[in-house]
Amino acid sequence: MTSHDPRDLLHGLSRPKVPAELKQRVLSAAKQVNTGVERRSLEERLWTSAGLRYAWVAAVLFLVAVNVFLGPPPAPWDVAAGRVAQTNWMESLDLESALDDHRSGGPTVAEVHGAYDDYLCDSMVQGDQS
Amino acid sequence: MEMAPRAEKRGRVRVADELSKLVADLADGCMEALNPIWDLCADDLFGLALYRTGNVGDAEDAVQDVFVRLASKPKALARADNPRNYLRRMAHNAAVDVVKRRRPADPIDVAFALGDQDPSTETGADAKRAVVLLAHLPASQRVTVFLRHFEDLSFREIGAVTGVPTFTAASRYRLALRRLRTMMGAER
Repeated sequence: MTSHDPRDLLHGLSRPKVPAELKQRVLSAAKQVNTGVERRSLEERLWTSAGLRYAWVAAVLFLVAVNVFLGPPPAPWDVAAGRVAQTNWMESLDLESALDDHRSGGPTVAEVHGAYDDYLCDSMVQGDQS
Repeated sequence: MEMAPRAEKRGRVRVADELSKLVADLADGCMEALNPIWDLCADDLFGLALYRTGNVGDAEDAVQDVFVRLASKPKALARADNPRNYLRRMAHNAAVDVVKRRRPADPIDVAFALGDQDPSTETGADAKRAVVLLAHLPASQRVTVFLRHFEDLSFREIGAVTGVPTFTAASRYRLALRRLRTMMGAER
């Protein structure tokens, strides 16, 4: 024994060597694991993944729930009938009488144009005089 | 702790560069890269596992676990900042798992890590004595001594490998030396 310092004692130690026969065993096991697992395509992995299956079932259930909540869609003839009714409602407005009221209560377009022409003539006459 | 010679440090940088290339090849699906990775790292990983488990058979199992995981998930190593330390961490975790699986009654090899040293020489006798003393240390302190003494890692790196804070790694090393010193004093 040459020293009482544990660090000196440790310096006398050599690094442990891995047993030579271990390399073959470990590498063959590792390569076997790699070749044992077939690399699947992305599409295959997606379709066989549990997450995607759950998402698929959830989407279907969601659509069913929405359909139940909203009720059955209206038949095409009902939709068409609804449009006709809307058109009739618009036609039922008394547009003619409203137009008459407008005509009787205010100047017509021709009257407005005439008044504007008079204004222009008056202003031109006044300009010539000055 | 003596500083490693400059040539040794250059050698480590070269090994790290080489390992990075091999890891990239492995991530690309080239399983043949496992061979040179083994040549570069197997001694480190085996030594670490041996110091953690105290048992040659368990250390072999731990190293095998590391390489099987590498083969099954080759891209995980490519994402690591420091592949060598990542491998060390894998080996440490595998060794801890192996020890957990082991039955408590299993004996621990006292003569582990002696290597090819001849116990009849003075150096060999010291080495054997060191091994016997190291076997009495707790596994966490023993692996800290290994990483500091053989791998010349900083305490920050030792903490990263063993999954503890830097302070804890330094504390384990200090306690290990103190315990070794105490045992050496008791021997006299």
